[in-house]
Amino acid sequence: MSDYWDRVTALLAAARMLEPSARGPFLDAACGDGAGIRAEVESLLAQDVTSDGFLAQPPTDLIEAAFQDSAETLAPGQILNGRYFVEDAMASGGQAVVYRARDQVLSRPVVIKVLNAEGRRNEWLRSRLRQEMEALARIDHPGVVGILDTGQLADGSPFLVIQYIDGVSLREILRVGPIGASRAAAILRQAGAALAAVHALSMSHRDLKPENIMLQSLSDGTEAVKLIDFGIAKIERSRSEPGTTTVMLAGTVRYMAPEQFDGDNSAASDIFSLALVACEMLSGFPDLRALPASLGRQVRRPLEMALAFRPQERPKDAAAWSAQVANRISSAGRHRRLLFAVAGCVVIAVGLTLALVRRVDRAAEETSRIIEKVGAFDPLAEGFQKHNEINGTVVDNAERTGYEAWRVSTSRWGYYFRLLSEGQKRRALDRGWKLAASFRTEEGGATVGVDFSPIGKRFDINDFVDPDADVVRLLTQIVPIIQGLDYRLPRHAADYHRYEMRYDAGMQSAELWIDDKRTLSGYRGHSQFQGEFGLAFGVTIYRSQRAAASFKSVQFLINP
Amino acid sequence: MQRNPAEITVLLRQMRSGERAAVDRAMEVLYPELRKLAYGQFQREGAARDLLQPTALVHEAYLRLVVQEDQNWQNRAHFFGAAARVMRRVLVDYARARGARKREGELSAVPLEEALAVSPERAKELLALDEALTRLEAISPRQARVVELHHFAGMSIEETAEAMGLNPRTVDRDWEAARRWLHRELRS
Repeated sequence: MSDYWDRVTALLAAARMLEPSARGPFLDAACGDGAGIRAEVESLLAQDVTSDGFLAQPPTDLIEAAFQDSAETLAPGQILNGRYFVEDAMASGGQAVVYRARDQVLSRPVVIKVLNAEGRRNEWLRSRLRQEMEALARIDHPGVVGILDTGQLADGSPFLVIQYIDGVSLREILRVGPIGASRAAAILRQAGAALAAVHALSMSHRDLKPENIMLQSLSDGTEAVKLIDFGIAKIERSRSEPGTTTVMLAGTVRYMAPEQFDGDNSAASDIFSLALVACEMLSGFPDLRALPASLGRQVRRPLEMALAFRPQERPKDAAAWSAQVANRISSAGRHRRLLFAVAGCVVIAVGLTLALVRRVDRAAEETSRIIEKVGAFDPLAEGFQKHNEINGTVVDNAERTGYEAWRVSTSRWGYYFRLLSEGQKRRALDRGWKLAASFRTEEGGATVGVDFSPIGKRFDINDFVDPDADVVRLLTQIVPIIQGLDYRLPRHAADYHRYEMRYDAGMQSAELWIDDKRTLSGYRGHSQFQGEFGLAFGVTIYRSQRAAASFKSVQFLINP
Repeated sequence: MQRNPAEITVLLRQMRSGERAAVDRAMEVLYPELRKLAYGQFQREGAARDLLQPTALVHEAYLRLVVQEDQNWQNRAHFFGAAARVMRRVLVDYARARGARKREGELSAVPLEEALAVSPERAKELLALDEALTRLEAISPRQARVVELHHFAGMSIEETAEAMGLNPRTVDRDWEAARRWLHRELRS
């Protein structure tokens, strides 16, 4: 403590012992001509700390809330129902927390699900979880995760003991791109059958998405599907609940059927979601438009029906519908393989042996021509991963309706990326590709790029906001390091520019079009900045303290 | 998750020698214990219980974590100092999280009753107090410690004095100066 502050503290204490009228003379005598210290002591004396009870009590309200809120409402080491030994928290979301635990009676791992502090304070959620678990307990289907036990915590809120599944989620599998047709067909068939079992009890899953489809490897080399997380973590507004005014749209809305935004859930909503999951397995993107042409009308048609806007127009029976789609996916895959086999024979007959090894996985690769990020969806919900330090938020355009873009900001640099498989890279370089993006660079620099390493080069669209001239300047380099292209775009705060890079496989170079004007040709990419990111978009500081850009769309398309 | 009591002793030694990382470690070691005790309180007393008292939590954690022979006054001082720090950090983290949740408002509405529990203003107030306290630390580290123990850990002036190895009168003087200084920072 400084001597100065020591003296202030001492003088303050001494002055407080005196009658207010005696304080002035005391300070006169004590401070002498130290006007500064006197002013300081008087200023502190003048603080009225009693009438507003400043710091009079410890902040118990906050302490209470903070500890209640700490997501882990169960403590490790706690034993529930006399047999489940809580180990640690596995995940928390929406209104629930999931723990890993051990059943000490049967000596096996289990999963325990409880409402978190937020959920537990809501009486409706509590009764809802109770109903849900009673219903779930009645479902006995290999494709639905089993409820082993239930119970009540000391505060009366319910908990669920759920079968532990030793496997991975479909989301983890899809992170690296679409999966083969036969695997997709098998997963779809099983998920549909499981949903049918749920629907038979007049229930619905409500939150079907790749995260909630678990895959368990079996010893015979096949995999078993188990649906988890039945609309407990996320509970929508219910019409039957007049007291509830809250609409919960936490988490991803990517797979929700239109009527679910109104709080209506039915079997048809699950079928809608499952159709999107099928699209994603086949194309890497939960969108019918992304489906590869090779799958044909036979596959596309039933998916279209399942994605009908009105629930009553969708197929009724999840099992029958998914079996139909699965069969058609398998036979489309077979036709292609046959085609390739025939082509292979011809090729061999001619004496060339190339492409033989590749043809087997070709049908699967065929499926992943388009990767994109659309509008205001969170890229993480669209299968992108995040690299380095960026924040993402929804850009809401009040003049139009709804959300229009995803804004990325940072005080350093970072990007979202989707990996490309080696097959995708090779095909893109063999056939040509297109990278189209619509974004608005707001501060610092923005980048959209595709990396083909180690088999090819990297192609970038880079620009930055020039703080001195109100323009956006293109930085994309024609020749590595040496020559940057300085193309200037007018900058209006509301403007998105459309950038399109077209790669010609024959020329082995790309053209860049901005707002439908060709601004660069003969771009051969560069090799000195290669990385493994595949398709990426992001921001970086450049002549600025922060960087921000709003991305309306980013699309990478491999020529057919 | 059983902590080795020796670990606490080592931690306290580190804190005594002023290692910065020791504060983070204190968070790591003490927070789970405090949370477990808080949880026990919630469980035991049901709906009609009183609000959680920080001083009770901290004392209980001390009894559970610090082995008997280590209860010399220095360890005691460092333990309570660390626990008060952890309390402060927990509250700041919570207030920040509430602030963040508020900003996401468009996508996830918070249930009404939950929103009433701690208002965003209350959270903001706490964050401002934390910042001011950090500034006070530069002027007088000891007074900042006094505020942490007396306010965040809810210890009485006498307990604070005992924990810090100071005369209660000194603590009282420190508290008055610090409180008035903070008041001026925050309210004017």
